[in-house]
Amino acid sequence: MTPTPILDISGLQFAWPRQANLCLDIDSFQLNPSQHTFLQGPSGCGKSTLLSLIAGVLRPQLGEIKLLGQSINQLRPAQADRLRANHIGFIFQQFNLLPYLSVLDNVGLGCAFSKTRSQRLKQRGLSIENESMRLLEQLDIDRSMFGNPVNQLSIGQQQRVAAARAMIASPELIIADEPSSALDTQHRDHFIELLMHEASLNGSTLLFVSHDPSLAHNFEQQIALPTLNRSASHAID
Amino acid sequence: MRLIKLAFLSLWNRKLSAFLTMLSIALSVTLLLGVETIRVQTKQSFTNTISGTDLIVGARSGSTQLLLYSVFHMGNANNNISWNSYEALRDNSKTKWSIPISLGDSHRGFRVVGTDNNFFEFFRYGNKQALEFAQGGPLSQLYSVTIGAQVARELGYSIGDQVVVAHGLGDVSFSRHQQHPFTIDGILKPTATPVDRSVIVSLAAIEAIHLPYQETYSPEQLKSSNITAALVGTQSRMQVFELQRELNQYSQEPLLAILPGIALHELWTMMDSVEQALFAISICVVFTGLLSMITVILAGLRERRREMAILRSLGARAHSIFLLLVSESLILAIGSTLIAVGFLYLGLFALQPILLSKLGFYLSIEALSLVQWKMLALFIAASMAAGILPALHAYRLSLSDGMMIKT
Repeated sequence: MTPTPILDISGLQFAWPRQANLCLDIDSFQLNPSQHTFLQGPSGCGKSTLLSLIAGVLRPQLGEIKLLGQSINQLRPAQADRLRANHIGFIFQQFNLLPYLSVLDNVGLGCAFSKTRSQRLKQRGLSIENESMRLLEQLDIDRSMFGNPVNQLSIGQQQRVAAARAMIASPELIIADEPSSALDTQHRDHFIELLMHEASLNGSTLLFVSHDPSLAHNFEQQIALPTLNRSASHAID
Repeated sequence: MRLIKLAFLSLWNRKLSAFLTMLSIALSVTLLLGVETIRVQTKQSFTNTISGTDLIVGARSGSTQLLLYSVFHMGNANNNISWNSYEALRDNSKTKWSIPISLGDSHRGFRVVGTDNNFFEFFRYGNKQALEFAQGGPLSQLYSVTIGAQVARELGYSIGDQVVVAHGLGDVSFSRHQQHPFTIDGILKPTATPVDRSVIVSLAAIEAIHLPYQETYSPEQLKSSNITAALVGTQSRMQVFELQRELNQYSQEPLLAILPGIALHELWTMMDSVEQALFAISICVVFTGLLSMITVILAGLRERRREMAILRSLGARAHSIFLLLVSESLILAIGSTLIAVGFLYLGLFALQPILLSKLGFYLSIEALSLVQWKMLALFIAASMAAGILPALHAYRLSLSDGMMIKT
């Protein structure tokens, strides 16, 4: 028996307002628990739009997006926000951190809008601060930097802090949107290695989105969005 | 609450522009509070200037003019009343007491008031308070002089000092009466009224300084032929209007008798429009301050879309973003209010000695009045209302941006 997918998309159709063509038309797309998936696609093919749909910030015109068995596209906005806060950790390309919070507080912010996440830590007997410190150390951030403002960190360090924030209190799904494209090759490989290792430790499902096909070999499932997205192939036709 | 903390930290991150915004709003609120303080205190000081006097009598002119020159020592009388009329008034059966006042001379910039010892006995100010001597006592001889507290303080006079009283009002007058030195026999306690700025001598002394120098003068020479005004107390409250009518219809000479309370009220009504204009100006300034706050927050939003996208990705609701922005306005408003209250009291402490020495106006420094608390509460409510505009804008941006910034 196959386990319930973490993410289950079926019959999805989305068009931006006042645009005739569909932006996304996805028949079926699943992420299974603990799976690490690489979603590849050139820029402008709708990757970020798909992520906003998964996050429940955008609504599809047709179809269903199930996150942990719940249709996020049918929830009221506030409920969708809560579902996102509780179960998804995001890492973006750059500038993930609030400049006015310390390194440690930026990681702790991952629990700020989610009672579930804070409680999950409490049940494990962990404080937000201790867990933030543990994750930061796991991700090779030196203890001496914990209290620093984030703009004193290198971009590589900032991305690792963002990863720690995404992973605090082990959300079921980690979505990384081009998280390594601001890094040089050496830092990039190190970052991906750390990210995958930490995701495995947490048992989180990882959706890694990038335009760069050379990263694909790291992941067990590899999908090209243009293949998945029927509206893209129409456009090419 | 976490949002308020975030709003605060975010503002702290932009502390220079936040501080300058608060400063400009604070100045406008200071103006608002300051106008109110001055308004209340001038009114108080006005109404405290004279009390217990039933009628002020002078030559026929306007009631405001009579009040101004007789009580506030502002401006001049264009006519005097004859001594005969004063005697008739003094001896009227309805008159309980009367104080003659003869003005027109000065001593080093302070007005000389010619009167008699009735002044010390019957004059009342504030809440029917009598004049008290800090040192010495009333006028005892021809060349006796009693001075107000401010005169003593500013000119550094003490009991027994010899001074010269000049004819005319200027500090440097053509005909200084060098030949008549006066001795300071009394110094009054501060009253926060024009009495503090008065140099008080007898009516006879006024005559003496206007006569050519002689060793001694005959009583006939020193008899006043006229005075400037008179303050009158009646036997009973009921007789005030009767006496007023009698004096206003006095056949020997055109006189004017006024009720100080009514004249003060009329005068205050004139001031009222000035005060309302000031109030309107300060409201406009506060409004400008709030507009500048909105402008600063709106201008900052463009740079902060990233911040909001991050918060949204962490699960913040769009309405949390709205609240975040409203809390920001609230923090700015409360900060400005605190600075404004600080400015107000700094200003009051700085102004107090200046007003006292230049205008003889005693500014009492008190806690904020109920009206001022209400103003502050209204101001904070208004800034929250003003904060709704940028907050709505941010709300819409964060709905359309979601977690992505299209830059």
